[in-house]
Amino acid sequence: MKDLKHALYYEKLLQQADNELVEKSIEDGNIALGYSCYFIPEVLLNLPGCFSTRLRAPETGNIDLGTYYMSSKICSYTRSILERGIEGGYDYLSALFSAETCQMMHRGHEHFEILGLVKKRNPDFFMSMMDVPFITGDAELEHYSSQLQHFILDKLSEVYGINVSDSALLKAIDAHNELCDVVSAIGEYRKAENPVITGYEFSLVQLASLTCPHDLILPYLKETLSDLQSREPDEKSAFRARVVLTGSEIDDPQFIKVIEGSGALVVADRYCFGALPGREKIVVKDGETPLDAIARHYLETSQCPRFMNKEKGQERLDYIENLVREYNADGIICEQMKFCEYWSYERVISNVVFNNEKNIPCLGIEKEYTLTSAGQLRTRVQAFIESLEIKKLQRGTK
Amino acid sequence: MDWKKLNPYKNEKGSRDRFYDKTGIAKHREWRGLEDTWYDYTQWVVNLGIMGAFVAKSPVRIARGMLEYRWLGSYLAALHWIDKCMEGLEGPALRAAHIKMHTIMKVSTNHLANMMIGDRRFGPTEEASKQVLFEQTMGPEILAGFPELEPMSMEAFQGLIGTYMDQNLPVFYLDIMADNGLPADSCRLSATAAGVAINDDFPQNGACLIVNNMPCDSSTMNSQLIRRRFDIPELIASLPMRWDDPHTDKYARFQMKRIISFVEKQTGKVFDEKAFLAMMEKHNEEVRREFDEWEYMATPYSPYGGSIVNLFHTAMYAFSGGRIDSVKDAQEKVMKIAEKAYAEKTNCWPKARHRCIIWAGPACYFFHLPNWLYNCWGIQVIAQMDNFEGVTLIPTDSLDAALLGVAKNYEHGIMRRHLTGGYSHLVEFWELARRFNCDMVLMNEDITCKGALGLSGIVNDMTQKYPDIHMMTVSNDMFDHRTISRNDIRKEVNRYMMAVMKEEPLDPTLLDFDDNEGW
Repeated sequence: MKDLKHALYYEKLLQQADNELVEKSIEDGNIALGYSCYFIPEVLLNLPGCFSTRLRAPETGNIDLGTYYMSSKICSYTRSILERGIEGGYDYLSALFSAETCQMMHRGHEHFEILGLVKKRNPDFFMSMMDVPFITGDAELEHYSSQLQHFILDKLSEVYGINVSDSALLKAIDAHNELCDVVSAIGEYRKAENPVITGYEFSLVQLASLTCPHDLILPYLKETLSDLQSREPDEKSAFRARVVLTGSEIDDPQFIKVIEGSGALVVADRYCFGALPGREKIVVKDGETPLDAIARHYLETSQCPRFMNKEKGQERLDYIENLVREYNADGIICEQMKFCEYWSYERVISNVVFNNEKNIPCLGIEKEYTLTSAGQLRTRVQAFIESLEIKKLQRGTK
Repeated sequence: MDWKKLNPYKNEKGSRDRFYDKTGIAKHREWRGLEDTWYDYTQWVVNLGIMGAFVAKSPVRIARGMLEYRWLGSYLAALHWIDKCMEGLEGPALRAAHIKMHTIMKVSTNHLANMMIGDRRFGPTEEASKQVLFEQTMGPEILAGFPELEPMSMEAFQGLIGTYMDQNLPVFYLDIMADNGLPADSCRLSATAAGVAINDDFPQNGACLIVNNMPCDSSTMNSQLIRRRFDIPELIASLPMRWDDPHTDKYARFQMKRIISFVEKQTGKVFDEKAFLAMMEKHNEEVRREFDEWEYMATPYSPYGGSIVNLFHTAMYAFSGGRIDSVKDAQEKVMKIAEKAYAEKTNCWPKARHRCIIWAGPACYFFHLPNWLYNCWGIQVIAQMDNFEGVTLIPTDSLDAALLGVAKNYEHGIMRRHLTGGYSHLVEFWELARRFNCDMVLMNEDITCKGALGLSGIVNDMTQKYPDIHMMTVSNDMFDHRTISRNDIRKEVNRYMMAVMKEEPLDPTLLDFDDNEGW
């Protein structure tokens, strides 16, 4: 295939947290708002006058400072974010929004407050931490909605004078939906038998959409979508298998490149920072306030293993199974960031349920934030692909 | 190299000589002088009686439980464990510890016997439908409005308390989880309970089950495995993590109301507000008596301390909530000892050179660490982190206020208060150390506890602000003695005491010994 339009530009943008689009938006007078978790609704950080940027720590090397503050037994994503914060890599932020959804991430973000990070450059900088329920229901919706009001909207209004009215929220929802439509449309191409976009390329698109100001990245995404309509796939696919990638935090496209370099095309991205879920349109129902619609949307669409209710637990498994069917995948790779409590259990459950009960091959892997063990990963994925091929052959002979 | 040849203390005599090598088996009982030795022996016999009464409550079902449940066998080590918790104690401290231990024994054996009596595995029983199961670290307060119902704590018996007695209990269950792919860096407490569930080793009690998100990420996840083993209606109580924030109060209170409605629906019983509020008064009395104890604990004449002070509080939190009279009795009896010791200026811990608070997640397989610290290095443990958790005074002027108070008590519960809701809670120990006139903090570094590890550097940085307090960091793996053994822990303390404090041990035979084959 010829190069995907803007792929190189997306790669360039993803090499820095404060990339040129982020800088341009700040120069234009907008404020940059950082977040890490899906439970902080991206759309609320894209009200007029501000823009969201999901925190990554690209090109991470030594994380000794992060390790000093958090010990070596904490997930390396969290430590890398803290390291970058201490180094001044997020000094462009005006606020950081967080939730006590994960012990490690929330501890990492607390350090921004404890150590006074970013404050020197921007005395108005603040870190805001909210509570998120563990189950879904009407009371949970009310609680979550109230937390969003207090810890995001009220703070933005008080400190930066951001317009948080219903009309501003509706405008933000419209803009958000437009971006989601474009990203989803790009993602749809992955369903084809011989797709015109790889998992790696799609991850560039999705990550760029999460980390750059929406209004500035959207024109590029539209052009990419337009390019895909005429992009010709290779005559013969270079891939030996199709996989759904699930799991915890993945914001390094190189990780997907290694999987695909081993012969497995990543056709669906059900992980933190992925588009499934993440790029569904927000619908405001009749009689619903925009904030309630946003809260409902995020509680409904989230597939985080943190949700304890049985229905949500079953929904998580069904969701992945549906992705396997919908994207015609041969198997699942379930990834877990080392030390992540949520995904360590979810990986156990996925392995047992998919391999033993649903007869869908599932490979469980543990990874660090930086791609330090690419060789091991390659070996494991290759072995998994071989097992998928053997299963295909066995099915064929039967 | 044979370390024993290099050991300058190799010819010393001391209390370790009483034990067979590599085990915790003693050749004879500890000598504490005639009066205290006799007292200790008679109290040991009382414990034996409590164990006998436990078996007598339902001999057949308890015997079947012994055969059915691997974890229950570890309770055979109870008397041995009690001895370990009494090592080195004498005078008022010994008496205070025994009185409290009797209550712990009575409360826990009673609970355990009722668990077996209400276990459907051993045949149909009416008792099962009178019990409401509480998973994780949730106390019984919310059930106080249902006097006919009995709160039944799950997980505490299958993992925590059993591990106190037998360090090998969790190993089997941890290996089950490892076989299923759970990484060893996941919390060992939660992994043990999950292993119990996978092995189908939970008794089948209860009319219904209250699952909850107490206290942290891993327990949230292991609940999702555990509840699959219970074929009874369940409700998930989702208590806010940001409990310091008043905006979470409405939701927290709602969780309590939801539990009440659920229990009413599942059991057909009606919530009795009057009984509930009356019980909350009793809960408050228990907590106030604890506050009174704290006043004595801050003085040099306190009989409180060592291993038992922490355990008594934990048992009170987990099982009483105002409903167990023997808790009150024990508190009052020990208070009289404390008053007398204070009036007579009795030094109840004569070997003490340091006053210490132990913080963060402990090595449950080394429950008697405070005894060793005292006997080997003269470190008197005044309190542990758990002592300051689940001590909420519950308002009783209205039902709404009381329900919020109960929710707060859960949010402030064991392993919850200091590990969630904001960083400031974890570092409270500095001020507590000063309040209790301690010169030392033993910081447990549970290598799987992310809530505490995530603030390691901040805790270390704070040592500069508190130069009057020595902080000794000691690693453990909470339930897995194979990773960091009891002797590894002792060695870490030894290194600190010798290299940093430049002190000589009180009893060199306790410095370095192998008890890995012991319970």
